[in-house]
Amino acid sequence: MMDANEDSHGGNKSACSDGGDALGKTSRRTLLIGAVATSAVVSIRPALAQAAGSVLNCMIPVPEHGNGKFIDAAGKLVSPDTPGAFPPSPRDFTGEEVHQALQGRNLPGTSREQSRAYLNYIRKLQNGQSGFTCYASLQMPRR
Amino acid sequence: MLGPRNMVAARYAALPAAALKRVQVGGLEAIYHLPSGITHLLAEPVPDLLDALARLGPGRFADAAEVLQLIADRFDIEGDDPAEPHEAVLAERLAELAALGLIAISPDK
Amino acid sequence: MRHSCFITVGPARFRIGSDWRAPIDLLRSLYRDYPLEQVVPDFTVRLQATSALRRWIRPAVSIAGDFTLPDAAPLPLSQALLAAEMAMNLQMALGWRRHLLLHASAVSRGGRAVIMTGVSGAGKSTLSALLGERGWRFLGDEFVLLDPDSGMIVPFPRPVSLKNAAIAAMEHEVDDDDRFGPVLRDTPKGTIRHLRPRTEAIGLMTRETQPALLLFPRFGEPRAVRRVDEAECFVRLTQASTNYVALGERGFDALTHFVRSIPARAIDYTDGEEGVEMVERLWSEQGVKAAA
Repeated sequence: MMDANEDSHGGNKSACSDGGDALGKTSRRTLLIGAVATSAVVSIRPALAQAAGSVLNCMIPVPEHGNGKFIDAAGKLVSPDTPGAFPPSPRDFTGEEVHQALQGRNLPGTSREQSRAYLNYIRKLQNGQSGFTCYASLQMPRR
Repeated sequence: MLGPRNMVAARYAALPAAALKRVQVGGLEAIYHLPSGITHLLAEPVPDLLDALARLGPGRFADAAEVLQLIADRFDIEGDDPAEPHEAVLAERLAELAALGLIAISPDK
Repeated sequence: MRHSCFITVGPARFRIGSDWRAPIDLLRSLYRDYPLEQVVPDFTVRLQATSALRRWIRPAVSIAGDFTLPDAAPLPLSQALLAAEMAMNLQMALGWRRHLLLHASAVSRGGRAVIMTGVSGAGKSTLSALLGERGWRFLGDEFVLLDPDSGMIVPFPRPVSLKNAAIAAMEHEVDDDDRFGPVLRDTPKGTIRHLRPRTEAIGLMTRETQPALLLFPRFGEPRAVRRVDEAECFVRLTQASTNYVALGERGFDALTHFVRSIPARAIDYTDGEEGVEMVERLWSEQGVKAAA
């Protein structure tokens, strides 16, 4: 098929001043260095979806919804009348909030003990439970 | 130590080879900078500048004039604007590379 | 969640919970040819009422799940299928890590895949649906998954989300109303209707395939073809990927290898028939070169 409007953007290929001289030696290549004001590096900026995605937007419910259970200090699910157990969090936490909590802050709106219990619950999350992928993505190295 | 011009030319060195991953992609070079996880695309003459510093050895610093010398040993140099000294053009490219963390810059002495 | 179902599309396993039964019934019908057994899900999606009252009065579906965009506006219950689709897309776009994810459609023939990428509305989705009815294996209309280790394409052949004019075009092409989901009107994306892929395509969804041709299609422009060089492909695909950055070095390796290994063309076409014809012609040309 005719590539009617074919125009190849070949980038800045240097002019090849080859061809060899009488002795068969290839002569030197010319390096085109451009100009002071012409940048020669482009950094890949992620599309918005990537920048905004992952940690910031993922959510972890504590505990999974529809459970009706409470959470003890070790992060285990227990019946609501267990002494010392904490009620389910009324709101889900973002990956960013959990990330900061893992570094020492309390989860928003919680006391020290409650935050610790919730974090223990989160640490115990298994594949298949709501919030696991979010928590796992916090653990993955960024590179 | 300051010389009479009050300005010391910046000096640059290659990063350890393991810090960069370089792949030719069409007419440009794609480069993955492991420490930052950022990908850049490089056009001529930048890959050749990286090569020149890499041949010097990681941690061996050179200023723009020295880099020009290294390059001129291998290539005929041609700039877009005859009024711009080649050293000035390379100085700009090297500063750009350093700002992105793709080469090391020597701290002022 | 009161009502729920499991759906597997390609390598991804979803658990979908809902405050109402109707969306789950609709999903079970639209996805009837897909694996629906209970599995350990990769993602959980919830279609939930915005408040207790709104479960009953002017019910509105709010999307929740492992990954979410906090500002997303709720949809009316009648558009729950769209809400489920958006929610599943979001999980993939924000959470999938096993493959490099590209906003692209793909079809294959003879074990070689054509990947078509471009902005929404450029025509890649409709083109893949058309080719899927013309002897090509449908691999997906929204996401193409690239295996960083093998370089192969992994199918994600979810039901095609047809919009506006494309609906009539495919209704004309596929003379079987049973292949379509309900018509969803006045959605934020216009009128939507889902097309179930052919059962053969769904049956083969775990089979990876070799990429062979990359296209940048543009619908509604005078016919034209342009070669696209590797550097331009690379940049455009980093923008078309939702997880290139998150994948780090693996993403870099996968994408550089991808653009260096297959030819690429930008094609402009005025209607579906022309688009199909151009894809098939470029395809044969590439096949001849590959065999040579």
